[in-house]
Amino acid sequence: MKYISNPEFLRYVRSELRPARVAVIMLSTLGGALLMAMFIFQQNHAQDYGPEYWGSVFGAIFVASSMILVLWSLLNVTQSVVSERTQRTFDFWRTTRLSPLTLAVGKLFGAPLSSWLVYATAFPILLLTGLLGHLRLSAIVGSYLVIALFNVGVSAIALCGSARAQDSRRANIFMILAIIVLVMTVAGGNHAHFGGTGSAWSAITPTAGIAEWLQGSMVRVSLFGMSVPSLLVTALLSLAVIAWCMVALVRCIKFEPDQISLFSPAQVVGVSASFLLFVYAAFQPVGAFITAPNLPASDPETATLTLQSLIGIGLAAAIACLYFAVNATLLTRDNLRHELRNRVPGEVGLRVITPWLATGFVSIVAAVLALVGYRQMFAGAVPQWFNLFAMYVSVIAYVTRDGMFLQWMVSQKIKAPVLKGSALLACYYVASVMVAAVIAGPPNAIQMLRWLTPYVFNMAPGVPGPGWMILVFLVPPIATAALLAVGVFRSMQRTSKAATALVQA
Amino acid sequence: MIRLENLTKEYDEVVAVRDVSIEIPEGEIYGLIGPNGAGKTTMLRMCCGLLPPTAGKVLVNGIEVQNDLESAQSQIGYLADFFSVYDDLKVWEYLDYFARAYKLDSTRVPERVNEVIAEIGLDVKRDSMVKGLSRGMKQRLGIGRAVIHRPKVLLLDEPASGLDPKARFELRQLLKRLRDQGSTIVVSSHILPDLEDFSTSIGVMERGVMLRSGRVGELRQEVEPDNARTIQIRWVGPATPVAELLRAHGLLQHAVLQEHEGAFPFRGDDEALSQLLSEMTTAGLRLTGFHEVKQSVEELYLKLSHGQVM
Repeated sequence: MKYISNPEFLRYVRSELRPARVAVIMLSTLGGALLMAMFIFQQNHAQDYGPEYWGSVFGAIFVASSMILVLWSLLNVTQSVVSERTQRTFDFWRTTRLSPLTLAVGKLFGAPLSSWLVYATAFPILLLTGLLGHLRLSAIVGSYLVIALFNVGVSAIALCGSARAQDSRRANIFMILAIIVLVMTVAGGNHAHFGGTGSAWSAITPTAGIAEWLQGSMVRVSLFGMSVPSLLVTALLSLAVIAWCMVALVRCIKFEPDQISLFSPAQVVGVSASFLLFVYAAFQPVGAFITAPNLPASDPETATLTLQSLIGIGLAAAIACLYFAVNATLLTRDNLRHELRNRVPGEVGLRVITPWLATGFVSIVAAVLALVGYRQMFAGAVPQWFNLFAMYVSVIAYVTRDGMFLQWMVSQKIKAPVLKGSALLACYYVASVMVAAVIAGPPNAIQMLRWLTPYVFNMAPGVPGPGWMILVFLVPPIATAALLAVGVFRSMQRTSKAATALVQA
Repeated sequence: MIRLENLTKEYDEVVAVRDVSIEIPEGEIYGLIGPNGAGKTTMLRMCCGLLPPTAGKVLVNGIEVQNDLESAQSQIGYLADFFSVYDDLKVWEYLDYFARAYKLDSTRVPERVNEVIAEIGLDVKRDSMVKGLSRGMKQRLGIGRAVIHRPKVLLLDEPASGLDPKARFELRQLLKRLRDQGSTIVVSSHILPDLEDFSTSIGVMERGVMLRSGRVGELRQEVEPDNARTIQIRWVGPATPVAELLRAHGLLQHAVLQEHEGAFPFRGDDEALSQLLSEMTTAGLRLTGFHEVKQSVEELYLKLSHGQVM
C-alpha cells in the first residue's frame, strides 16, 4: 500500500480489495472457469483432453473474462463520478488539493478494480489452457494485453460520461447507449473484412484481430493505403482515445457539468482534426470493396466512384466534426451572462463561433490534403475544386446558423435546450426537402433546396456550375445566424439587467 | 482573514447573494444566520471556490480564491450542509485519504490522523467501518476531515442540523476546542441557540442580502442604542413594596411584575444598578434573585431581521 502514491486509487484499493472480498472474487472466478471447462468437456464428443479441448476452454474463458472486464468496468466507471455527486461527497474532493489528473487516473483504474481482479485471476488459467491448446505464448499474452488496453479506452470514455452526467439516471442511459454502440461495433468489426485487407474502421474493436491472431494468422487493415496489423491500429486508437479523454477529464472532472464544457475550444478543434485524420487514413478505394484491394486505378468508372466516395466521406466527417464543435462549445446561460458582463456582444459572438470556423477550416485543409494524397486512386477523375470549396463553405455557414440557433435555445429558459433544438433542426431539414419537392416538384427541388439547406451539387449533365451564385446562397444562413446572435445577446442582456437592478435595489 | 468584496451570485433572474462585503478577522467564530434560502450556503460555497461568483471576489488570508484556487483551498476546511462519507472505509482510512489528498507529508500522515481522531473523540472507533458510526459521529468525522490539513479557516454549513442534543453538545465542545487552537470559524445555521455560546461575531442574511454583520456586543448596542438592560428579580413576600420602590425610581412604567418575580428595563451604569440593589435590601425587600438578562442571539436576529432597527 505504501508504494501507491495516488490517494484516490489507494482509497479504491482499501475499499474494494478487503481480504474477504478478494477471496470471494478469486474463488468465484476459479469456480466459473472450472464450470466452463466441465461444460465444454460434456459437449466434447471425443471426451478427451486434447489440444482442441483446451483451445475451446481457453476461448470460452477468454471471452467470458474479457466481457466481464469490459462490462463491469463500464458499469462501475460510469457511476464513479456521478455517484460522488448524488452521495454528496463530490464537494469534498473538489476542495482538496488532489489534481484533476490524479483524480482521473485514480478513478479510471480504481473504480473498476474488482473487474480487473477477475481478469487478473483469469490470466494464469488462460496461460495454462492456452499452452495446452497449442496456442502461441505471444498470441495469448498479446491478446490479453490488447483487451486490457481496449478496456482502459472504454473506461476512459465512460469516465468522461460520468463526469458530464447530472445524475445517476443519465449516467445509466449513457452506459446503456455505450453498451449498444460497443455491441454494434464488435458485430460490425467481425463482418467488415473484404478480401485480404480490411477497413481500419473494423479495428476499433479488437475482437476480429484477436480471433485471427489466436488461430495463427494476422488480420491486416488499410491505413493511408498501407497494409498494417489490425491490432496495432486498435492499440493506437485506444491510446488516442485515452489521451483525449484524459485531456477532457483534466479540464472538467473537478467541476459541475454546468460550470464547464468537456473540451476547451482549442481542444475541440484538436479532437476534430484527430477524427478527420483517422477517417481519411481509413479510406479505401471503391475497388477494394468490389473486387480486390489493388484494383487498377485506370478504370474510369471506379476512379470516379472512388473520388466521389472520398469527397462524400470527407464531407460527412466534416459535418460530424462541426456539429460536435458546436455542441461542445455552446455557452451555458450562466457563462453567457458572465461573458456579456465582461465583454462586448460582438466579441462574445466571435469567441462563440471561432472554434466552429476553425473546425471548418481544418476540415477543408484535411479534404484538400486527402484529395492530393490519394490522387493516384482516381487518376482518371479530376476533383471540381470550386464546387468542393463551395460545399464546405456552405456547410460551415449553415452549421454556424444552426449553432447560433442552439445557443439561442440555451439562452431561453427551456429544459434540455440542445436536445430539443437539435430535434427542431432535424425537422427543419426534413421539412425543407419535403416542401421543396411539393412546391417546386422533384425535378426542380434542388434549385429551391439551395436556399434552404447547404449548397446542393447539381449532378445533372450540362447544367453549369453556380459560379458567383454561391455567394447569394450563403445570404440566408448568415443573415439568420446574425439575427439569432442579436436575439441571444438581447435576451441575456435583458435578464442580466434585471438581475443587476435587483442587486442595486 | 476572510474578506468578501461585493460578492454577488445570480442564477438567471434570481440573485442568491447580493453585493455582500464583509471582513472576518483572525480567530473569530462568525455565525452566519438566516432562514432557509437566505443565501448562506451559496456564500460559503463561493468562499471555498466551489461556486464561481457572478461578481465580486473572496480573499482568504490575502489569497484571491478564484485566481489561486489550490493555494486558497489549502487554507480552507469545508463541511457541507448535507453530506455523506465514504461508508466502505474505516475511520482512520477515511482521514488518511483526505490527509493525502491535501498533500500532507506522507511520513507525517499517520501521526496527524491519530491526532485528529483523538481531537474529534473517535479513538475507540478508529478501526471501525464508517458505515457503523452514528450520525453525530459522522458529523464529527466530517469536521475531522475538514481540519486534517490544519486550515486557517473553517467553513461549516449547518453543522448541527439533524443532530440530537448530546451530539450538538459534543459538536459545540469540539468547535470551542478548534477556536482555542486559533482557527477562524464561519458557522452557518438557522438553529440560533447552537451559535449562542460561542459566536463572537454574527452576520444576518435574508434573501441574499447581508442585513447586519459585526461583533455580537456591537450589534446588541445597535439594537438597544439607549443601553437599556433587562433586570430580572425574584422575591418572597408581597409584590406591593417592590412596585412602590420601582415607582420611586421611575422604573415601574415598563416593568412586568408577577406574584413573586418580575423584570424591568434599566438604563444606567453598573454603579447605578448596584445602588438600586442596595436600596432594595435596605428597604427590607426579601430578594432571592437579581440579575441581568442578556439578549439572546435569537432575539437579536429577530430584531435585526424584522425591521426593528432598519
